[in-house]
Amino acid sequence: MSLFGAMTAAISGLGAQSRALGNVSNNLANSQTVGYKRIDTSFVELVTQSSRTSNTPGSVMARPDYTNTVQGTVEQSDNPMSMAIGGQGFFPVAAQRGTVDGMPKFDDRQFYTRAGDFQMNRDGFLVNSSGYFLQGWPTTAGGTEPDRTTMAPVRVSQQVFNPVPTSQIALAANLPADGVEPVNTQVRLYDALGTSHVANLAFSPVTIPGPPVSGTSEWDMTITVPDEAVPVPRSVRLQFGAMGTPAVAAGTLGSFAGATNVVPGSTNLADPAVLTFDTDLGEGLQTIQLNIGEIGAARGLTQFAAKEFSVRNVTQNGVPPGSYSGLQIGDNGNVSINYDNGQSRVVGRLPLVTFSDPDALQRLDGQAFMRTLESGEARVTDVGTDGAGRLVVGSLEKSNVDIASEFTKLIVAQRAYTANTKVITTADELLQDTINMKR
Amino acid sequence: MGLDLAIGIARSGLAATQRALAQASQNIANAQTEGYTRKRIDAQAQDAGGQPQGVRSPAARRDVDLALLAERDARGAAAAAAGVRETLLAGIEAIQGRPEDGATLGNALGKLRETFTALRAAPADPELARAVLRRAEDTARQFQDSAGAIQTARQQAQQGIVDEVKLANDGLRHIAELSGLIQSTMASGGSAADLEDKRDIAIARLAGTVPVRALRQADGGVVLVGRNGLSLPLPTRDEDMLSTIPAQTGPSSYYGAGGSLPGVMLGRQDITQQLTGGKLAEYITLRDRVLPRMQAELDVAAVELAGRLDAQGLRLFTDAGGQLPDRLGGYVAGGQAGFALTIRVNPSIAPNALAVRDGTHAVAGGPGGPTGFTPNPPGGPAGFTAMIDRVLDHALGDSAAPGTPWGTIASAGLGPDGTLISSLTTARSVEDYATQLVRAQTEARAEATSARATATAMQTGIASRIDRQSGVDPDAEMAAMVQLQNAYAANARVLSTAQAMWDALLGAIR
Repeated sequence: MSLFGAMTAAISGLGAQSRALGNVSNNLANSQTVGYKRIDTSFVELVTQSSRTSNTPGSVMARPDYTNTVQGTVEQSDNPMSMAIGGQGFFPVAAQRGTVDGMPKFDDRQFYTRAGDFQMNRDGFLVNSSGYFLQGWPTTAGGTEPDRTTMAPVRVSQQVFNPVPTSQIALAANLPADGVEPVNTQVRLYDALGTSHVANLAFSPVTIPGPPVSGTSEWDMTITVPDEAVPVPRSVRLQFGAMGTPAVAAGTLGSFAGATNVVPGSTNLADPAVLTFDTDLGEGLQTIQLNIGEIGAARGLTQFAAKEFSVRNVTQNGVPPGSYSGLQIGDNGNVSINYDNGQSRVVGRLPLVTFSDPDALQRLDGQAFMRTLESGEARVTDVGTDGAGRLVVGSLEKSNVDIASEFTKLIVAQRAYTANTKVITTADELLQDTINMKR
Repeated sequence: MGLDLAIGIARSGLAATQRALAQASQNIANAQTEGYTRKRIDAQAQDAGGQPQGVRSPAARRDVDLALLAERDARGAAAAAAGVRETLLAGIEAIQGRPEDGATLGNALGKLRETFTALRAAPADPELARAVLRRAEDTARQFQDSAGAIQTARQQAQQGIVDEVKLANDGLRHIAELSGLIQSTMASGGSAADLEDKRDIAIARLAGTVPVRALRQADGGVVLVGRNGLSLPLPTRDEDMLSTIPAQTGPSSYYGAGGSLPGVMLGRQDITQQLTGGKLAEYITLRDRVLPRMQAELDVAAVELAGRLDAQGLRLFTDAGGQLPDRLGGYVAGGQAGFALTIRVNPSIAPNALAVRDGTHAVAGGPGGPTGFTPNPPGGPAGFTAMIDRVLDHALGDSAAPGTPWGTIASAGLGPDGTLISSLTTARSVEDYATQLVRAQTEARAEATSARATATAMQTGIASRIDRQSGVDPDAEMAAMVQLQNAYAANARVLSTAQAMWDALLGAIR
């Protein structure tokens, strides 16, 4: 009976349009939710009987159409730890299940989200507004490369930067070519405890017997570390220009001679000019490499005419202890802690997770998703590689709901709904007419 | 999407404009603040995944020529050093008197000679002999006052070293603290421009004490490098990097091996000899070279005066113990150091003024030196003039005996450690030497004054160049404000347009 068929088809239309209206209202309600992905509605026809000669009305079904791959609006945020993904991918996150010994215990299941409004919580975890904990690759001990085989909630717990003893010193200076007076300069050293010491580098010109020639070209360098446990005499002769073996360009360092407790590096042309020495500052032997430029090049230590000894630059790589001053997330996903001694340390790297079919992910409360069979395996990759998007730090991805288009869908749903009710009333009248045929 | 995005972008535009306006207002408010440089905020367009995202304003930046700053600091150090020299030398000059006022040592010696001349005319007059003694006392006092002023200045220089070391330590601590703040601010992505201004001021202040050049590091820290290879590490735990100890200066105290005066230490390293330029180095030069040399010149003048009179047979001046230093024995070995402080009229002739006519002791005489002399015995002739003639012709003159000039007055081996050299080499008579001495010391003060004026003028010139380049230009800020106002209005217009579009959209739903 196709009147009933018309009626049931119209009723299914009512149901489908009301579902569409429901989706529109959900989208509008969440239009300002961070990381929300809107749900569109697609309508599917159900056929009962359809042949060349006859067609019976079927019905319609409304199915949700997920838009997990559609980019939402990326807006700037004042929070430096908030992140947005420009392109495909999700943040891997973990959910808290309870507390053990005051520390959160995490659900074994893996969750994914694009809601990047992370804040550091009391325990040093990065948690978003829905309570999910950001996960990342921890940095391997002592290295800067992330350990890509494990994933754990990112935690900022290293509140102290342990000191780094000095192992390299670079000196750039000019010894006055016709100088007759010994000259000195000081360099700072850090020992393994982060204590600062001062080493003295003394240069005294080697006087050549006979008539004075322009430029002595040979200097005896002594390195003294006054804080040493046992004072060690260290000296080496620096030979410049024509005094070098072999001779090099005037004023540049050529070779070393007569080293005592100092190990000179090789002196081939264009080799780095390096002197290595050991010192014991109470914490065991510490090997220090003194870099004074390049053999045969006017870099580092030179000997040109000048009024006085001048130091152009002196640097060393030791670091005093530092304490936590802030967290920074790089565009490549590196999470680094900044310390008040000017150093920073990478504690982990944030990966992005991509899926073959992200629209098939299971939606959860709090703009989170879970893997399903249909979505395919989670592929954990570095930011910006293998189809994963880019990290935009200091920004937030709002919802991908466009209110104007939701309103359009709203109008269409309203009209379609009204049209279906008209079909029902019409079918009802027709049925009434049919019933009235029998008096 | 859509309108939301437009509103978000307009909001970022409004925020950036507000920030720029706040910076402009900060610039204008600080136009007169010492060391403030104008800050700029450069806008940066943002987009994410091809989607526009508005504008972002990074940390404020400053535009400073670091080479000019270093040059200004170097001139400042020179000016400060010359100022120190001028102040200390001016104190000595005030006591020594100026040649044009007729109150100098040379004038005192001239007057002593006049009283002897007067006594020569009437050798029997005891009143004239007493006038000679009074004048001799004046001369001795003049020596004592001048030497005392030099010693006071030297003690001031020593105190100056202690004070400047403390200032340098405070300055280094301040710079270290600011550097720490700058490093952590830069690490957290904030603007350290204001802190850098403050650090530049602190470095300029430190440069007055020890001239330093700041080598800026990538992490926001600085390495301070001075002249002569001096490198000043910043303290890490608020410790004192430089150290010295207070000391009492005296005519025979000196710095160096065996001396009693302290040097300036960096950790355990003595850097006294490395310090060049700046107030600290100037105090050290004054304490160790200039003032000891001036003291030595004064001592030599006193020794020559007393010694030459003694050599002619009149012990008119002695030290406090009635003794005379060895005139020919050298400055250190002859015990001449500090004689100008203790010189006085021989106490044994004070009761008997006429001893200046009679002489005090016999002189044997010898080749190359004074001729023989026998004093006028008690009861001898009242018109005895041999002693007075010897004083006028030889002790206060150019020659030891007729045809035998005095040997040159010592100009080397001076100072408490015997290493200083005087520039006064031409004088033969004590009076000429004293006149040259006062003139040379006055000239040193005048040189310091003109050096300070020159350095200050250079410093002011460079400072005004820095100000033109990096200071606040109120006109430019005003022009920027007009632009900002327009930008703000335009962004606000985007907002109101979006609002109108919302209204239209909402009106579409009945």
